[in-house]
Amino acid sequence: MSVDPFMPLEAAAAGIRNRDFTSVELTRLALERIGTHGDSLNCIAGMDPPAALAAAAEADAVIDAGRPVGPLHGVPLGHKDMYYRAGRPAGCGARLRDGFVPGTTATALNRLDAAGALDIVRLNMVEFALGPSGHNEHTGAVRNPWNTDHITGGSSSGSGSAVAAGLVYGALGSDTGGSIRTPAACCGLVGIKGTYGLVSRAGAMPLSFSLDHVGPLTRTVRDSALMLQTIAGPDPRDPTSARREVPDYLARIEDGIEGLRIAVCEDFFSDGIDPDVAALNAESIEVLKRLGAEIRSFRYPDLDKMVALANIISGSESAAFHAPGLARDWAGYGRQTRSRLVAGLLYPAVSYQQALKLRAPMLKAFCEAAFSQADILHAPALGQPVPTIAGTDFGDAPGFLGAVVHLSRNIRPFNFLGLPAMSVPCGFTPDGLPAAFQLAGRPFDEATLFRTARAYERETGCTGRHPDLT
Amino acid sequence: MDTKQAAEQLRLVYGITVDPSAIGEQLATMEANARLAAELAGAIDFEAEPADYLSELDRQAPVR
Repeated sequence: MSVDPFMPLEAAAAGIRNRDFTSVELTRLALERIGTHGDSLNCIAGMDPPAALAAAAEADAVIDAGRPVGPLHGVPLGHKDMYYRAGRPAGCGARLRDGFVPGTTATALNRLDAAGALDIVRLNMVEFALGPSGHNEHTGAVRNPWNTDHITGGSSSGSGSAVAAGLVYGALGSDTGGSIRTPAACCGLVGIKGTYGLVSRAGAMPLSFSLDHVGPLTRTVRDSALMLQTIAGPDPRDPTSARREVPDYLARIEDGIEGLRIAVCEDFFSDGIDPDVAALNAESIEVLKRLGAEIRSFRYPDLDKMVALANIISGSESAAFHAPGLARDWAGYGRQTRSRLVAGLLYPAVSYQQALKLRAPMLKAFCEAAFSQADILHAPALGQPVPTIAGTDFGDAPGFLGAVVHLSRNIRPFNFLGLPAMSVPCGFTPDGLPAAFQLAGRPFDEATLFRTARAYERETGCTGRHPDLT
Repeated sequence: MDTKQAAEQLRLVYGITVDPSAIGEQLATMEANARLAAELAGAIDFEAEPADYLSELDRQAPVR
């Protein structure tokens, strides 16, 4: 087997373990591709090639010595530039973080390190992870490898671009209002945010601590399961971390979905949906049906309300975090970022408390309605084809708040609820850009999402196409 | 609250100076969302409903 920039992460790790190729070969290929495509995609925030190659050589030495290795041993990854590593800069897409060097390492990075993964590149992101399109006034818009005139989605824009372009074999993103699933959907990747509390946020830049989720963007479903498996689990450094044992996501991932009950979300999700996107989503439902799933229709009236409540929570919490920074250096923030933060500063404390208090009863009501009739939910990830960079450069122009929310409206309810949710590619719109559906499940039932997505992937080969960057 | 009052509040509370004409959309969005939260909260008996979100996530998880 030879090195291939688009091979699955799982295959890359197996190839290193089996000595089909070395970690140095794989890392050198990744660095070459970053050198060739990183600037045109604008997805790279920082890197240290000699250190990356030294880490790869060390990984190879462990293999040569016949010592036991972790499941991601020697595989080059890159991560959104908001995961802290002690002694290394973390720019967070922000001019205000110029020169910031954290003194701690994120739990998610520690766990990937323990599994043997290499962390070779920091990836660009939306300023302070606050925005769904991938624009960044300071660092520029990250570009979609499928068509560089189009957005990657945000805020994990560099993660989406770099993984889709075959620069790295997987990346961490973060998802407060859709920031993993939106770029995954726009870039033809698999992106999952687990249940709230499944993955520790310790050492990750906070945006909204009630809604922040850590998760991976990968090119295949099995890779997604492998990465989530690695980073999930209790962590005393994160007080909201769930004290639950993490099941083996790969154990039953190939079991198929015969008899699985899938509820297709209508109304809210299909309102104003683009016909081409709707057709691709409808086709995906037909495939799932053919695979043995029982399909039923699901309508729920309060989803738009959840989006509004999520906005109160994320607005208030992000504004609380950034209020001192805004007072100190207003001009240091991008226009859209500070305008959104101002919206958060205006919320009364009572509204914030009400939104938080509503979460438990609304979760209970939603789960009882949805999961009494289904095991899993299916909905479009985006309601529109992937837009252009020029067409979404809203800045803080009139109407920007509505436009920003509109882009990720289908995705945000699952942040409010905290349910596991995943974006799965389902073909291409006529302009050649990816489309995606979303799966959501019961709390801590990520395994069923993986099993469903994997059945669909196996049947359709939906993750088998890659952008031509020549 | 109008935009001038909101801008004054931002100045007094947070030390941030903004042009009142630049925060109309934010203020309107805040008012709409806050009204909705109040309406929803008013319709729920919080003493009878689950109060702890993290515990509710646990309760709704499938039993394995």
